[in-house]
Amino acid sequence: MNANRVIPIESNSEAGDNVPSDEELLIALQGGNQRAFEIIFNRYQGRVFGYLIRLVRDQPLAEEIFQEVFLHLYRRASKFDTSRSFRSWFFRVAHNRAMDFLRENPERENLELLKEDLLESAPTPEDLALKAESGRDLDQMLHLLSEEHRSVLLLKFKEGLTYEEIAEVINCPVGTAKSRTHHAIKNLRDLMGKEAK
Amino acid sequence: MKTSISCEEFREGLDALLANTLEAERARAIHEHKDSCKECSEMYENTFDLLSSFSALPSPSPRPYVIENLERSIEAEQRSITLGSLWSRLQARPTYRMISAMALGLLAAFVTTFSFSQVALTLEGLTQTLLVCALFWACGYTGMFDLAFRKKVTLQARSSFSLTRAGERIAFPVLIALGVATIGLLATAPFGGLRLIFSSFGGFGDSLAQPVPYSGWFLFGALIGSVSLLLGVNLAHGRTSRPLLFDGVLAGSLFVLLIAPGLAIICVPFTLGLFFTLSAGLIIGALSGGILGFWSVRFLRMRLWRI
Repeated sequence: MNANRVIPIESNSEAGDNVPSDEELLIALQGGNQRAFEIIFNRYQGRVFGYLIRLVRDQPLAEEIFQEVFLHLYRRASKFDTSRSFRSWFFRVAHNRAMDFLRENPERENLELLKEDLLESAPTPEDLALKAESGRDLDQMLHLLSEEHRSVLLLKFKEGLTYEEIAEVINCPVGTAKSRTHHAIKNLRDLMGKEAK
Repeated sequence: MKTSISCEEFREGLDALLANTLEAERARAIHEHKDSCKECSEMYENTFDLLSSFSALPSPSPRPYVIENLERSIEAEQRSITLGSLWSRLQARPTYRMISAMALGLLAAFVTTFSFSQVALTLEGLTQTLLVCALFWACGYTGMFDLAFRKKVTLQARSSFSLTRAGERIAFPVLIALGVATIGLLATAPFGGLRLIFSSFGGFGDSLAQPVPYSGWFLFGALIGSVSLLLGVNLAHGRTSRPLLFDGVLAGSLFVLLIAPGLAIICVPFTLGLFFTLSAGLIIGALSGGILGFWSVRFLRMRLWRI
């Protein structure tokens, strides 16, 4: 067995040398190129929406935040410093909007708990662990983690962000991003481990 | 087989290993243990597979009406040309900035000829001179930005970008106003405007040659160059220290190159000696300003701001 196996990460961009980078597209968008916005939209719509819906666990809410995030991009593109990482900036906008909403709507906490109760009463973590191979079941396992842990796992292993980028997205020191990822993996592993006992 | 770590230690290190944050020595010990312990090996494989399956998570799309709503919102944004949005669009368009910068350069040359026709080392004269140099500064920075922007010379754009953007925030309103004024001035040329301009060249050389020696112009150029770059570099203090020095020096050089045509216009009726002296002062001042800015920012960041 190869000791240096690497966890596969979804590709960040399309293959090919002629594909413009995010930052190049932002420069074009800053110059008024509408086509650049379309390309960014197509590149990020699934990723951002996937992140949002897994974070807030509510489709209408995720859709509302999704619209806000892309409108924010359109309005604020001229202010973006293209020497920085676009994806971490963009995910940070999405993350902050989602967190703001969750903070401003504490009644959603009850909904969250209710959903968790439902999840626990239907398929147990043990059941879920048995089916962890498929993305659908992994989604259900993710629902049992806290938002903090869910976000770092998604950013790291789904979006392939570096720890520096994750720290920027969730607004914390890099060391915190790393330790939070360790804990998140441990919690996920514990969920899976319950099945073995 | 006995390994250097226990199963408990393996479990403690596994998460860091999979998060790719473990130092090489410890990672090797974890792998050694994994290869010798069936139970831990299974745990590793299961966790690895679990994390690998993240990449297989679907990327869902919002419902179609959401995208339609978003498209409508963006169309509405495009239609609502308020003064604010027009302003930001003008700022976002390199062509407009380039034209306004050129207009400013032209105007600065005209203003210079008028100003220096009566100037000595008086408060009024120095105020006029400072104004003209500030205009050149704005022109130079705007032009530099466009050069970097259009040619995709990144300038390792980090702080240059901020430097220029900070400069632009101040310069852009001035650029537009003066661009309009220039057009107005040119439009009146057939009715005497140009005659007025050229007649001022006569007094220009005389007044410059007598009261201000070359060394004074050198020092003056150095002062303007260093102050502008010092301020510019400090405005960009949020960046890493290395590009600041690079950008300070580069910005100083480009600045002088960009205002050279303006300087030539000023000095044509006078002497090349003055032109070179003033240019040298500006170059030296810009470079020293960049370097001084770099060290002062570095000092503040490290000693005072602790970042």
